[in-house]
Amino acid sequence: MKTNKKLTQEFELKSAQMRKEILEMIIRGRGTHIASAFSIIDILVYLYEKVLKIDPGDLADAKRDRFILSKGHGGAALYVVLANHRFFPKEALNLYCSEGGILGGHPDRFLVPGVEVSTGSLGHGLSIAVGLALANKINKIDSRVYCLVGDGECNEGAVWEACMTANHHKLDNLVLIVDNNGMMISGFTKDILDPISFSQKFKSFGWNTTEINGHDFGELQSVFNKVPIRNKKPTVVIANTIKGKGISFMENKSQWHGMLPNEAEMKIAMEELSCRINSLTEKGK
Amino acid sequence: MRDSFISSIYRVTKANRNVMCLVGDIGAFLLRDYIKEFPLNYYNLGVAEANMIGVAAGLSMAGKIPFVYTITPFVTARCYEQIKVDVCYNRSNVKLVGIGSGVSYGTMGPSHHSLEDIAIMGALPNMVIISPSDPQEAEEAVLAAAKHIGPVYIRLTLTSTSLNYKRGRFQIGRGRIVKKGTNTAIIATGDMVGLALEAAKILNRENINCYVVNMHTIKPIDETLIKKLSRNCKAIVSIEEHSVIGGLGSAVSRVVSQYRDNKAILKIMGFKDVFVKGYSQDKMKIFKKYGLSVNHLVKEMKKLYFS
Repeated sequence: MKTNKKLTQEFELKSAQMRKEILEMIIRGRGTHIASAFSIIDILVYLYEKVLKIDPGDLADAKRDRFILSKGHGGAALYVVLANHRFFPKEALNLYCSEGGILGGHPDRFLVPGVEVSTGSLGHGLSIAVGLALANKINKIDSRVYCLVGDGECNEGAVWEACMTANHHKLDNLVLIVDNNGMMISGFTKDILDPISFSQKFKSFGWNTTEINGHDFGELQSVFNKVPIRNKKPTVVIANTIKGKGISFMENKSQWHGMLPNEAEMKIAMEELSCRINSLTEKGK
Repeated sequence: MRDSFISSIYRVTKANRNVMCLVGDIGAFLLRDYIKEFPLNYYNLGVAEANMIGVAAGLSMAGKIPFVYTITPFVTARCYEQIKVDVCYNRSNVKLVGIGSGVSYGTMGPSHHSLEDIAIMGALPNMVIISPSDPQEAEEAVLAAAKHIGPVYIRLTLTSTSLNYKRGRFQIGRGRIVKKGTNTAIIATGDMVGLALEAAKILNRENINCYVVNMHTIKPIDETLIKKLSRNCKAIVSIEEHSVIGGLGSAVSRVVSQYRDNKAILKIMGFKDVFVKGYSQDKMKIFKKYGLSVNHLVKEMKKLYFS
């Protein structure tokens, strides 16, 4: 078995490469949500490498794990991860947000192999995940349902309706990941609608609650080795992340939710990512 | 119609164990036999309707056929965006069943009325809308919805009486001719079909020989039947327990106004863009107050016919 350090380096390299692919894809398609994709990419890399049991060749398998990207605007990260895992040919990335392509600003399950639910409007995914987890319980299927929401998304009341429901029906086959990057379109979440403490909130809703650094593969590994905890309670992983993680001038800057870099900024961003890739490649040798 | 839903959901679940019944904290007493027999098919998801629609969509993505049952405004307007995205855009095999539609809850006030539900549901791609006219048809609608793959909204009232006419097989999208006519037609839906029959009898005495059509499916609307009527009739009156905006009348109008061979003048009867004021145990009194009685219908048809 690989040492944790070795594994971590491998994942970090994958993430860095995918960040570059995401950035290139978004610039090419003149899309948006670079920073949103960068805050979740490490989580997605880990989930698709190590956690989710989904066979790209058998997407109708009733026993597959399910992943629902409730914050659909993070779709660019999901597309790149799915393409790297051969859910669809990588060439599809070339037509992101373009005529004739299958990859839009928000994922469509009828167009993109591997996309479980079409999302985009916030606060929908967790209820659907609850329905899927409930169906698995009824059908006695021992697979798991993972759902990723944003912290801003948790403004939506429906998220908390779903939280109550998941606990009430003892859905310990359900794992929610909160991409807690602390930011929304117009600034910091705490300044717009302060959640105070996600961990306390979920605990009071009866959930198994755990908090990690969502960019640290060691922490991702240790938490996903443990969850879901089969104690008749749903589990939430509050992943503390940085919006725009990986590009110095984008980190924690809300404008990068929707903005595209200009040529000079693009150059700096690409240099930073290439630098990171090179240094991780060196380390890996 | 409540009893019709209870008995038919029982039947369809018995025939197909993937059928489920989700409720928003109503009907537990009436559904007690169902709950006893199918404990894994019944979930009371509380008064959290937006979530309930999402849960239903999730269940359907795992092969279940959930019927979501609660009071009409709360299974339509309350959770509209979930219906748009989770059900219609995701093409989920979810059935919505609204009870007490229109002004059936006559003493409860406009919060519990639904005079806009057809309009908002009709604007959603993939949605089928069925508005049964009597208890038997409510059962037929539930059976047909269970077989149809895709979203269906069934609009039930409360205390409809059985209509006595020779009916053929129930088919989604095919209106039923309740009474044949020659020169005019009343196209009605839901509880208005009964009123239309009474009006037709009165009109008959004055030699206005009126078709009465039970348009139980509002979407997809029966274009063939409407076109036929519009070719043969001088006047068509549509009547519904719904706003005149976006309901049955609008659907009929979309057909005839774009049909070259249309010879009929159309009158759309319904609630005229208002919230109902006042209360009554008797829905007919509300209808009368808002110009939707048998007499109003007779008067409107005569006006059109003799104009």
